[in-house]
Amino acid sequence: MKKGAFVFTIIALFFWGCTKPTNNIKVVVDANVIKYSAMINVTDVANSSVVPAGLTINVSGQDADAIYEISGKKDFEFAGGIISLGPSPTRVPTESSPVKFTVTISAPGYTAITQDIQINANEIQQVVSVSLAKTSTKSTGSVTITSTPPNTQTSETSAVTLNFTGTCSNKSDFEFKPSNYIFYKEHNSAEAYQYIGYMNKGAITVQLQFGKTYDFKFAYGGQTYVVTQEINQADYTETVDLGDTLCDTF
Amino acid sequence: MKKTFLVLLCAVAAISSVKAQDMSKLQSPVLHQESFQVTAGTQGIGGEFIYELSQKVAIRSGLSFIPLSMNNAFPISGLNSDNKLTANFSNIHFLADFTPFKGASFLRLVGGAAYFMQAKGDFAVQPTGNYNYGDIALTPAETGNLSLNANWSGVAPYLGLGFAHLFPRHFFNVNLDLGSYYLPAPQTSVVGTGLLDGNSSQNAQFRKNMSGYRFLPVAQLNFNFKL
Repeated sequence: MKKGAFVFTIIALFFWGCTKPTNNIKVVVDANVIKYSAMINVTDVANSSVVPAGLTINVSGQDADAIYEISGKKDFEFAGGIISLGPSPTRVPTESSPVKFTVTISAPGYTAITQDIQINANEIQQVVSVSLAKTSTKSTGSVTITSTPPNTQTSETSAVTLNFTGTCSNKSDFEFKPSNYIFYKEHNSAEAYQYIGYMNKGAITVQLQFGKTYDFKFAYGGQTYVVTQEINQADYTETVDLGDTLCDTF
Repeated sequence: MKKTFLVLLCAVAAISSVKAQDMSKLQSPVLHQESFQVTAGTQGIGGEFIYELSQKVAIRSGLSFIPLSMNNAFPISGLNSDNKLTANFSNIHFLADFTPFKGASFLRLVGGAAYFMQAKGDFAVQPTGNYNYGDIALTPAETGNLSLNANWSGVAPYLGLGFAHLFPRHFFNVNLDLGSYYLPAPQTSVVGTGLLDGNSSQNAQFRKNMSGYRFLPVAQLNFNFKL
């Protein structure tokens, strides 16, 4: 009787309301599960626009078992020379117990580099820039680590906020808000992508020139996603198709 | 014989006249009647006190409340989840009944207003089963839950029709109300936790969807006791 009265009430309300309450409502998933991370960006020491082919990475060390790629995968695959690694949510770095692991980066024809990485409690993001040298040359590779985002502000730039939303064709009621490292370059430029900052839950504010067109790139789950946008206003919403393979992991 | 008949005829006429006067006294209206009715219908259950101002007008005040819940009212495509819809409506109302047609005293126009102390609907979604982020198994707390809320508290006017007599001829009757409140525009919120904490962005769409839900129809049976 109780249920019948309720159903009657709801039907009565629907008759007057007409629109289903959940019409066009998306389930927004915050893909910021791995909150601490280190982004590794690998280039050729002789030419920063070149990404060595066949890159592989091996993770070892104290907390290796807790380390995942930023999409939550245990398979470590570079995408355009970029991979972001971090500890699972259960391994939170503390002041007395930072997360420690070692990465060995290799590519055919290049001298491998081994680098220790430490994630401290007060370092949510860090950028590990690795330059590999060909074994046929006398050059040596290098590694630089920084935890502060680059300053790209000039007299010609303005603050622009970009909001990225990931979509899945096989989950049309879902939207995903990625948290990831963003690279950019001018559209059709031969220059290498430059790191511009970290988008948190899909949002990032960067310094860009109005009137120019840029490519924005991020690597996620072994894949590269690129969005092109001409900048003429202070904020944009960018939609990225994450692809069925990645969407099925949720 | 003729005289007897005439006397009888006059007696019958006189008796009829007296009877007619007695009957007219018996049929004179009783004013300022009072009654109490227990109400049950789409605005819940409650009670009303009714006072007759005149033959055509009566006023009533009362309370109603309805706490209801329903599981899995709206499944969400692609999300294995349990959901629960709860509604809590309680009001204090003041109404006036007007009987426009003397020959149709069973029909009344009813108007007034209510103050809804509580008028809210909550839709809570809890993902079920195992959710993974890549190769990471998520706990229920990490997965999170979702809550959509709409609140119509405030003053709402009422208009409707009443059927059957408002005051019982003897001790008890049953009458019917059919009408509607026009609720205030709902205040809405969408709140998520864990992986779902970005869902506040859906509040604008939710408010738009709920903007048409302004009418609360009243279909109510009243069990009326004369005081």
